[in-house]
Amino acid sequence: LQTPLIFVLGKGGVGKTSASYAMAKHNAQLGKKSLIVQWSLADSAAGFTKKSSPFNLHSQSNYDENHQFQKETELEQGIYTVNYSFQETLREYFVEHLKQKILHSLVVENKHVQKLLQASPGVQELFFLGRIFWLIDLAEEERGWKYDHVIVDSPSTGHGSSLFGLARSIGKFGLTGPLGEECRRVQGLLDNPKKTGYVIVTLPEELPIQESRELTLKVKKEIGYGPLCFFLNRHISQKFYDQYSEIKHEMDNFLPETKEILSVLNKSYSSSISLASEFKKEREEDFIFIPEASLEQKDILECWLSSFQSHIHARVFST
Amino acid sequence: MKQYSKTNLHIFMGAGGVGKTTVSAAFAIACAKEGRKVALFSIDPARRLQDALGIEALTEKGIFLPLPQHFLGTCLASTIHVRETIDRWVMESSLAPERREKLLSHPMYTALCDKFATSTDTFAGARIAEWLQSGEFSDIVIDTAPGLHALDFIKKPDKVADFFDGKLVEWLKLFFSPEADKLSFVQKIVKSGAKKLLDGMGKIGGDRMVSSLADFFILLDAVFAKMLERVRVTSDHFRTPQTKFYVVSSVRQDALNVAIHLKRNLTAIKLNRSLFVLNRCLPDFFFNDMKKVKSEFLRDYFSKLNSMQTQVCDELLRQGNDCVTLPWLAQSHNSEIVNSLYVLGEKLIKSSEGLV
Repeated sequence: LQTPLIFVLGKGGVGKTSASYAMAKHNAQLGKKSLIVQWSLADSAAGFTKKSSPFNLHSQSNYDENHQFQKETELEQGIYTVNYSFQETLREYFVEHLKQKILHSLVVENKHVQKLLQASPGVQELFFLGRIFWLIDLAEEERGWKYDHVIVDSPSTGHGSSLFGLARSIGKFGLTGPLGEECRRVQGLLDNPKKTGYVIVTLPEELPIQESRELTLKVKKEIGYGPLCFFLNRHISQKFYDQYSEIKHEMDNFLPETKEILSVLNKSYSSSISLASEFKKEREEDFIFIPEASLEQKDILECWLSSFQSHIHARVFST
Repeated sequence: MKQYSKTNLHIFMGAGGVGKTTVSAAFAIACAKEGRKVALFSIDPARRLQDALGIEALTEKGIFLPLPQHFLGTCLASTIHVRETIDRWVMESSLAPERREKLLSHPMYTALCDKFATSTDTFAGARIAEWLQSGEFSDIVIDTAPGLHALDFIKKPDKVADFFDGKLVEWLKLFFSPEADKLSFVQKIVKSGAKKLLDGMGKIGGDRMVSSLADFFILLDAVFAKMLERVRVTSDHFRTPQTKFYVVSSVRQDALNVAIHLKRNLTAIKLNRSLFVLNRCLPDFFFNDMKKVKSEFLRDYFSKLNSMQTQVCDELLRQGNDCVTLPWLAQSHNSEIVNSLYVLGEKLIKSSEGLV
């Protein structure tokens, strides 16, 4: 993959976890080590779909109901995963990083301060970014953790895009002290396209595509550069559609009601295909189609990996 | 204008992409045909649907759908506009004009609106209450945000207010409110104890963070109290027999998992008037016809789809709940979409009668 840090962005349920896992798997096949960072806090719907996803990242031992642990866990050769926990990150930041144990136990752990921290817009997100900064720039020195790539399986669109302008807008409150410093270094990392990249996952449906357009504009405005590529998931392949279109020569065998349903389905398939190709046409970035698994008689991971293989020259994969 | 004291609330929930928006619009239109005064609130309305319904853009206050002459009722459609709604609440608050301006231009205000934009559940809860309290509608149809936690705020309507009730905020107010000089003796003692904590916070984020936060919370207090009151109105209404929940799924394993989980969440908070709606089902005669298709690839595909549909249906019924199946929305041109939606909505109304 091109950058050491990659954010996987997109609307809920489009396949961000699949994309994250597939990229890590792709890396592993090249002998590289990846860490997948997940955040289920305040976005438990994603946590649930992840549990039921074929990759099942969250059923691993580092995950518990209260998201209390954030130990790195090796899923398989070369693929590690870690779950973000706000409390644990606060503790590590103040106690281990700033060496301010007393400040942490007297102030940060105070229950009123806790309430305020949890309710204040942007604070949890800021520490999430701070954690990622730590993973990229400091983890090797402080813990001996070394990854070729950190892949952030971002929370769904709303949170996903707001992460990029967050440190700058929090900076406007005129923060000084360690929080102010944290904002500056986090924004420095995000603003650097040599270190940070992002991909956008979408589906061939109207709303996800519209949201991807808005998401791209918003993120580009915040950090000044566009996505490494788009992944268009659950794509109806031309091969399937060609076979399906052949049905029109057999119409005499069907009931009139069947014919009506076939034309409704036809409209749905063809609109997916045209939405996908129109979106591709309007973008300058690389566009990678991942076929709908149920139509291909392949499993989901195979669909992703074989699409990567056929786009191996795409910018996102070059180093 | 007729005032409705008992508004029916219909809440549609489910995973993304199952057709919730379409089904709820269909339901609202079918209600309007029967002469009811309907409000439809969609969190995530597709452009296509708006175009088809002949509306340019759904405004914050809502617009009446252009319905055929023979429809006896009306349908006011609206969608979520977090910033505009919160701005309006600030303008309607009891704050003095210059204080309102100060709040609207506070750097944290935008961050707060963003926070609500990502927790649409709580926000929608407060928004719905305005309509409930207006008494102008016989039926309110809500299309919730996709996912599992669309209704978390019913469990804890107070969650949103936690930090406003907290002592810390009291302290912040005490230190930074305009009346801070006129403290009582007790307040002065509290103040000296709290001072250490505030100084500690200043060490983390700088003194300006503390004063900026305090300032903000004081300004927001009135607006927030009203919002909390509204969330409670909606949450209480959810517990009355006037509220029904429709858990929508499509024939996909992931959508089914979300539906089952949603139903469990509802049961866990003792909301039992719910029913499953399995959308975009294909009938048996269709699958029978597809067995005759020449392409082995397609025969195989449709046979798998058939067994998947049976499996999903069985699984929903096993949950001990009623389940209504709906067909694909009939193909139609924009000019006829209201009619297609009406047919779909009427089917849902008829099949769910007496169920919930």
